[in-house]
Amino acid sequence: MTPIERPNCGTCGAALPGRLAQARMITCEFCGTSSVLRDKVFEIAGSGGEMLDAPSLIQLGHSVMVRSLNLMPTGHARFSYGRGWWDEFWCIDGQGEGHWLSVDEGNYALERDLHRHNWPKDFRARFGATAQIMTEIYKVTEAETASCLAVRGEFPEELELGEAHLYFDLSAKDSAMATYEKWDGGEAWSIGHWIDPWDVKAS
Amino acid sequence: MKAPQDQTHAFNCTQCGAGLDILGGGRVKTHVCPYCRSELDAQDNYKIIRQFRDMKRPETPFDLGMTGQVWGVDFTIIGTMAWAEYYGGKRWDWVDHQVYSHTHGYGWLSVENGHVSYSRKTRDVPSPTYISESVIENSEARPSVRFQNETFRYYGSGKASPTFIEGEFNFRPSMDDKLRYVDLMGGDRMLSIIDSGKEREYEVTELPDQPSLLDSFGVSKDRRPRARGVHPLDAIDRSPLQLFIRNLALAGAALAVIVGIGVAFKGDEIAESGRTGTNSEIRLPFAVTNETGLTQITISANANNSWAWFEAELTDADDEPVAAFERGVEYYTGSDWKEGSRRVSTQVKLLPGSYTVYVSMVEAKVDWPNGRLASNMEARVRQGVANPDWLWGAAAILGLIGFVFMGQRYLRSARRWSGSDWSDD
Repeated sequence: MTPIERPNCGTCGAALPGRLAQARMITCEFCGTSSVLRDKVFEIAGSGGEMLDAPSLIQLGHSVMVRSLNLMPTGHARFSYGRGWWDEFWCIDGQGEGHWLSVDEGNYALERDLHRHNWPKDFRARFGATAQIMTEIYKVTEAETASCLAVRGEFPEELELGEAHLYFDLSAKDSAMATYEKWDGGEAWSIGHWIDPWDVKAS
Repeated sequence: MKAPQDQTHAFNCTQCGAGLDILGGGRVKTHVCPYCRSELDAQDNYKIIRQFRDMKRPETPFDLGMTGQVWGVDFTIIGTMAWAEYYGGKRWDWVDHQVYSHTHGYGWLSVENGHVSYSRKTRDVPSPTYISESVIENSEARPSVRFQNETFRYYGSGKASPTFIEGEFNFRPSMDDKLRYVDLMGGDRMLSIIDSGKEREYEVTELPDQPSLLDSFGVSKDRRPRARGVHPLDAIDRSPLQLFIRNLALAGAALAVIVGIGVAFKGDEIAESGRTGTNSEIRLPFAVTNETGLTQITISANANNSWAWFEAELTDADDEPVAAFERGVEYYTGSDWKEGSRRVSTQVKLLPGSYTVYVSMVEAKVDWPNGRLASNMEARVRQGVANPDWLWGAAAILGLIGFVFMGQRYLRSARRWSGSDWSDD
């Protein structure tokens, strides 16, 4: 983590949190306004949405042990898939590496971005499809449309509230999993593992 | 989870109009109305899928909506599913309750033989990934798998079908389901391989502390299940103090044996008569120089399937009697057995000085076929000898304590495995 300048919220003027070098999006903890880094300047992106309380083992600013990894959640995004929702936490480990920790009704997954040169080729995004990522074969076990409901904290990328995107969860052996996301003008792959909820220990 | 801002806690059954609580999260797929038994699609406006009939409500201490804790985590009972298995003219029944936690997701509380266990799906896969019926039938030893660095050994298998369905589930249950399961037991966990014919899942089962679990869910005294037998996962949970005592006792016994052996061989030989005919007397002078320890006088004779009785007298340098004793040897042998000893010892406390021991055989008898009377005898004297008998006693007592602990565990383990359908035949 490398703290750099501390900009102010464009809406209420409060100092934005000491942000991380990777942060591209910060939410003001006072008024909830989201600011996005564009051309080295934080611009107002809009409201961070309403993040209603819900029981969770993960809390912003409170470290959490995931198996043997100590993570500090710095960003919290909530996504809706229509009949329900899940949370995504942007977390930083002790080496300053970022991870996405997703929490969906006791299903925990720890993922990191998959480098573009490892993206599977000729992947046909649909339920039941398979994809080879490096040497492992993954199978799509869930395909849904999701939209971002609310954001808090800091993120390495811009998350747009209300914007719908497709996501495909893929699973492989030994709890390995991957996610493919597609939205207007972009796509991304991430890869990781399912985590047993009993292996997540909140500080 | 239902989005907090959109959370709906209740709805009316689309078949019978009964008010139904929504207890599970957004991953619930099915809601079976407890009143009209209609199966409703929780992901499509509770459209009626079908109606279950002729279901007999099982006996269970849990009701839909009950909340409690499993190892400190809040869970709510959201569904009830009873199962039956038939084999060899016998029937087994158990009840699974789907439970839901906002933080730990979905799992099961299962009631069988009065025990309540907690199961949850695992995404880790054992090696090998499956144990087929033919493997079970043809294996000479219990099949086993490795899972999360632990070996799980075959416990039982079978095919079960539902007899009752009610409430919410994160899958779509059917009265026509036929699940093949293989249970494998590790140290304090059971791994179940569940094959529905469409997919294969793995579940881990553990046994929470029963009273605190039932207390937590508010199960009244009159509804508490009466446990029958020992649950396979009910291992003896020794306190660290008990384990320390067991290990200390076993280590003490081993130490006593080692020290006892050392003590038994302690001392120096100071006199030896050599072989002498039993028809004459042994006269063996010796000098004790060691102020500590005992003096040991050993008499041996070549009796075979017979016994011999000896008298011994010990005198000092002035030929005054110091001690006298009688000892016998008896030795019997067959083609694959032997009994008794051709040697006998006595220990006395002597001050440094000169002594003489006189040994003579006073009686002998052959009392076994092919026996032979002792024809020669020998006396040996050692000084500085210690008596290890108290060490043998200590070893026996400490060993007994340790083995009682171990025996308890063995008996418990045998009872835990007693419900297994595995036969070494």
